Amino acid sequence: MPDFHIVIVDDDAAIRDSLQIFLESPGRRVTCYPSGDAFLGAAAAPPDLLFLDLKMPGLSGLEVLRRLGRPAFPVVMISAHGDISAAVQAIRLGARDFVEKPFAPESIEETIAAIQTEGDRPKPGAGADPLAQLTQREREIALALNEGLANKEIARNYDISPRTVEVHRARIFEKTGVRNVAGLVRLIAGF
Amino acid sequence: MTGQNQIGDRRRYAEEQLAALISTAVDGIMCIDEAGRAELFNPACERIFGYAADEVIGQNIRMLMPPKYSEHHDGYIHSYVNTGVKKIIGIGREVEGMRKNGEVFPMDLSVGEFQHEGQRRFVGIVRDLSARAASERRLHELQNQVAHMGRVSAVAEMGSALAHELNQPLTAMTLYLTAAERAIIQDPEKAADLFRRSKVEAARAGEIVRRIRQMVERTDHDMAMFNLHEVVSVSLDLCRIADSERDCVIEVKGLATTFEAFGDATQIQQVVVNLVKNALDATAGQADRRVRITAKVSDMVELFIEDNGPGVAPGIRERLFTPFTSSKEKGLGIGLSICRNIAEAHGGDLDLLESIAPPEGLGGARFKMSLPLETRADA
Repeated sequence: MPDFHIVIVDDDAAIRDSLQIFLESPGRRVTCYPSGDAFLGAAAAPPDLLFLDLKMPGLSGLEVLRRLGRPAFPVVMISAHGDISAAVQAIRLGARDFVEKPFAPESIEETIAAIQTEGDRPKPGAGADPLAQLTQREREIALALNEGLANKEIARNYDISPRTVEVHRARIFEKTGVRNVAGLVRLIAGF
Repeated sequence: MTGQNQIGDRRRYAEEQLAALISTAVDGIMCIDEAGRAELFNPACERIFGYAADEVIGQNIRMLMPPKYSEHHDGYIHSYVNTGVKKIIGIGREVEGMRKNGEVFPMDLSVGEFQHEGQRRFVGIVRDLSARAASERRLHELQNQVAHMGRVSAVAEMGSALAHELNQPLTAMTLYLTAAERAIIQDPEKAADLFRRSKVEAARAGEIVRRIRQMVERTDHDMAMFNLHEVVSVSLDLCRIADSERDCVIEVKGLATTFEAFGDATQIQQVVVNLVKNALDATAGQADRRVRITAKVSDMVELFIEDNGPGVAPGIRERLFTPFTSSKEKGLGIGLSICRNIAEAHGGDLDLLESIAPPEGLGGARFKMSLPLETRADA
């Protein structure tokens, strides 16, 4: 079996270096690029997984995604904490998931594990309402999350506590079988 | 005898007039002999110094001065009587007095002299300046508070960008340390290397925190010579950190690395940060982003900050330096008015100039901050 090839595109040298060292293990190969231009310009064989920073000088992460045009390989966006709306936009452009900086090393491994197993997960049938089993309030909140709103913003909009939003969120994820907001956005978008 | 009476009448009149003037004057009036002994101490003096007239009259007026003057006062009189060189007589100056309760206060003192039966006498007029000094101090404090508020609000506006910048080294550290933890048994040397790398990242995080703190800390308005080049460089670092796009070309021209200016370095840094941050905001989203800082030295130091953004809209121009008007969604609108206050408090100025089209200029907003080359410490 060939090595699982991971590419990291991030403008911060320390993030590239530390993520590479962290990810490298037998059976995995890691390549780094300091910018979107460098990555696209290399025109290398498609990786098995791409970690792509959202905020970079030159081509932004979103622009790289656009140019890749709904890539066939999974892309995980690296976003700044609180920049959920851009992350959600990235999911719409075809990214599989996102991790927020500063991320826990475990969450990176979980994300990779999920991507490696998710391939076999059955896709929801076309036309079926993916939110059918949700209550009215859960449905509203699911759509708000889909818009890239943060918990706090949702709480303010519906005049409920952020804690309540978290409870709803957990129920929504459980009922729809997704891991996180990224999964929810992909579910609603139907891919 | 009529003549004698008339003279006597006039004399009495003059004496009464003088007595009334002396007792009603708001300023303290006193008179001393050549030995420094008080002969006159009017009611205003009693109010100012807190002594009753009979406690002072006949005593050496050194008792009304803090030690740094009282030790030398006899010498001052002696030296004047011997040399005739006037140091205070007819000139007047700000000195310090000491009240009965020991409080030292600033006062304005003017001294005159006359001769009586071959003996010199000196008259002094004293004005208590402590109220004025207190209000100046209060004004000063308020100015510092406003400047501090401006720095806090500038950092608050950059807050999420600065937090993101702090997250970079923290993320890298966590990854290095996790990898080191895994390697420590099998490959201690690799682990040691990873520890070293995390230390570098910790230092990087510390440096960012230091920069932020420097901006939000209160200062005592320390006026001193400072390296202007260094202040500009630190300001640019902070702005670059907070600039989410990171693709702006910032150049500094005409500023020697050793160039020194006089003022409060933190406040000048605040002005530079504000102006450069505005320039970066103005050019955000452009494919080509340029900011240029040019220094010119004449009788003043002039710092020009120019960008290639769209410039300041005519409608905003007039109220640009008016507090609480902002064209930015999140801005408090106090940045530029505080910056102008700071420049003015330094004896300089801050202004928006006409844009200069390329190739000579960058075509966008152009600000000029001027600072005096040297300022008196008490200015």
